[in-house]
Amino acid sequence: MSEAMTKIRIITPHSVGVRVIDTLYNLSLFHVNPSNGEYHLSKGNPLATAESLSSALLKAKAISHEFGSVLTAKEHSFGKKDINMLETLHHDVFRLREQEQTLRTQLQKVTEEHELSSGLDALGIDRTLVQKLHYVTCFVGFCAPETLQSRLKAVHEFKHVPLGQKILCALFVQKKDEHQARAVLQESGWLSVAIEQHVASTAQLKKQMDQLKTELHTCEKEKERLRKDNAQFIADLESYLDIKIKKAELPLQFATTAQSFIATGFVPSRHLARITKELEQATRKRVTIEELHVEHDEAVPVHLANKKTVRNFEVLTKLYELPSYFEADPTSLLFITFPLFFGIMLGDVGYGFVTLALFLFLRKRKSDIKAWCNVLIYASIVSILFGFVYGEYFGFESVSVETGTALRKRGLCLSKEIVEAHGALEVVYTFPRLLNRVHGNVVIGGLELPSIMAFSIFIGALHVNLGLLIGFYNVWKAHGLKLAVLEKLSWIVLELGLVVLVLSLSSMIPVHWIVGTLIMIASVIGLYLGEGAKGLVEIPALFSNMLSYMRLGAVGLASVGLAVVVNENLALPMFEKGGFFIIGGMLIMLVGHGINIALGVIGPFLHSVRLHYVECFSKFFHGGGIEYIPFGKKAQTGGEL
Amino acid sequence: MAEVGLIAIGASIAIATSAFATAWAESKIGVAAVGAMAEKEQLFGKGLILTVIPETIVIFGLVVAILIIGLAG
Repeated sequence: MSEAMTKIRIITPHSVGVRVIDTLYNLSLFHVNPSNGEYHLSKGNPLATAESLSSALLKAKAISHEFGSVLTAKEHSFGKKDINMLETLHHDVFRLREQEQTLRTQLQKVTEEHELSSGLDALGIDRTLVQKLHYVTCFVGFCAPETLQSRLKAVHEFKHVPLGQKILCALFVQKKDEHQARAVLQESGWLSVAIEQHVASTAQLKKQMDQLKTELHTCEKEKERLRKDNAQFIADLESYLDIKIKKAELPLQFATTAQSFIATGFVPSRHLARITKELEQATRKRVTIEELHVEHDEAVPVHLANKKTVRNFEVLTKLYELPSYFEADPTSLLFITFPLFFGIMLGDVGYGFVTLALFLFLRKRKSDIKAWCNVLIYASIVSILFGFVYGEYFGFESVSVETGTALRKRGLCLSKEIVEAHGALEVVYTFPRLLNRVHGNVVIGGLELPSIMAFSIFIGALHVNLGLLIGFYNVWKAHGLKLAVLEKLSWIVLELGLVVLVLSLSSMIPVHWIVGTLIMIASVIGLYLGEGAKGLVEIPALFSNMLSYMRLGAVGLASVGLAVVVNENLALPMFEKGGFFIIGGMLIMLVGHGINIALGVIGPFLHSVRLHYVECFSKFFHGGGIEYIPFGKKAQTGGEL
Repeated sequence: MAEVGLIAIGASIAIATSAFATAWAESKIGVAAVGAMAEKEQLFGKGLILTVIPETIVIFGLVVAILIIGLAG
């Protein structure tokens, strides 16, 4: 059920505004309705401190980002001294950051120069001497040597040495061939190196590099020291400032006059007295709290308040949509019927235990999907129960005479049956069961139907009518009894009329068929009055909705089919061959049942969810509720009370 | 025996055509649903429901197939 809410208006002078906001924050119960300018009142302004707080928060966030540490903030109170400390820290951190960036750029440049210098040394080039040559020109640059060598004719000397991923080349040509060589170099993709700019020796560059590395290390150490000393302080301060800003900006959602501000919102009715008392205490009774009438089309926030076990199923309700405040919360219905449908479909003792173990394990490991795991744990338990009802154990309904005799000796109650397998009659021992979903048939109106299908349609009729009854309650609450009868009860009367008509036509009850027809006509008129032409159009949909529940049986039969194929057609023939084939058979069983279990979780989950959302919810559920998010500490958790 | 074969073919046509119809419809809806979810993640629930709506077609196909097999006795 969703929690009862009361709409209130809080009027208080500006002088005690901060105290009211603090109290509301600490209580974490007031869901604010932003002011929409009613009575021509202007919107409130943020508190005077908001701007300076925002600036401080920006700095704290920048430092926190620079530190890169994720710490859980502890609740602390901070003063002006701490804000000053933040300013100093911000200055220090960003000074160090700039220094570090400059050093890194310098170090990269010197490292590149050092690398080039080592290359030149390896080529045996004396940088000062090369520049003084009169008859020979020296080219130094990067190039693919094989491309160049094939094009050069007047080579005096050509050398190359690998440098990182590139190759450093030196080419000596006579002065008279210089122009020709230059043209060839251009064609060969030559990347020239100006050696006159690289006068520093390799040893000098190495020394520079070491010095820069030491400076960078000192800078990093200093930064790490700042991080170690202040990371927790910054995390706490960031959280503190965040809260302060939330409080300072709250008046933006209020209406305001020259002397006072007016806050409108919703609180859980059971907490109204407490809120009133605390606000009066905080302001020394300088506050007026009015209870307001809630209009029927108003967007009242919704807080689903179910008991602990049922609460797990709220994820399924929220996956669809939150119910509106004025309609029934479908979570309790989901709690009963979702695991039931899942169980009917999966219905296997072995599979049930495997999925149960899987979701128990996942619940322990993944706390963020705990509610989903709990839902599927309930579903797995119901699957085990239905497994006993169907007498299915990993797809096995029966065992051979030898195994059956051995199990009977251990006290298990197995019954002897003669079945047809692969065109021959065979004696087997079957597990005890209440319903044979694979081979059990019923005859309805001369039509032979698997009994699980007939059972499914029966469940569908119950579920759809349950939806209609909840819809009846919703409409009754919202628009009165007359409309509820016309809009929702007419559907049930229509079904009754059809049943009477069919039974009378098949002479099963001593009533004239005209009675059933009249009941149906009356219900159709009621439907037209209640829902208009839309209701008449949807009449066939009611019956197709009920037939849609046949998937409860069909999905299960498909799953059993796959299990039987794995066991009887693939694995058992392997076991019969003996030897290494036994291992093959075991592997087939493992993979086959693994796939079937995966499909057995996805299929029943989706179909069970769908039967609720499409077939049942369409009879009563409108949704569109807005989540109750109270202003305060627990806002992020959706306002756990 | 020939009749049994025809009945089996009839059942397979019932399930195969309805399965193709479901697959075609779901692919169209699924694409649109995933597109909508990329824009707004909260639409997962609604997208899921819309995607599985045509599932009914194949369920009815299966039921019809089972009924046809029932004819074989």
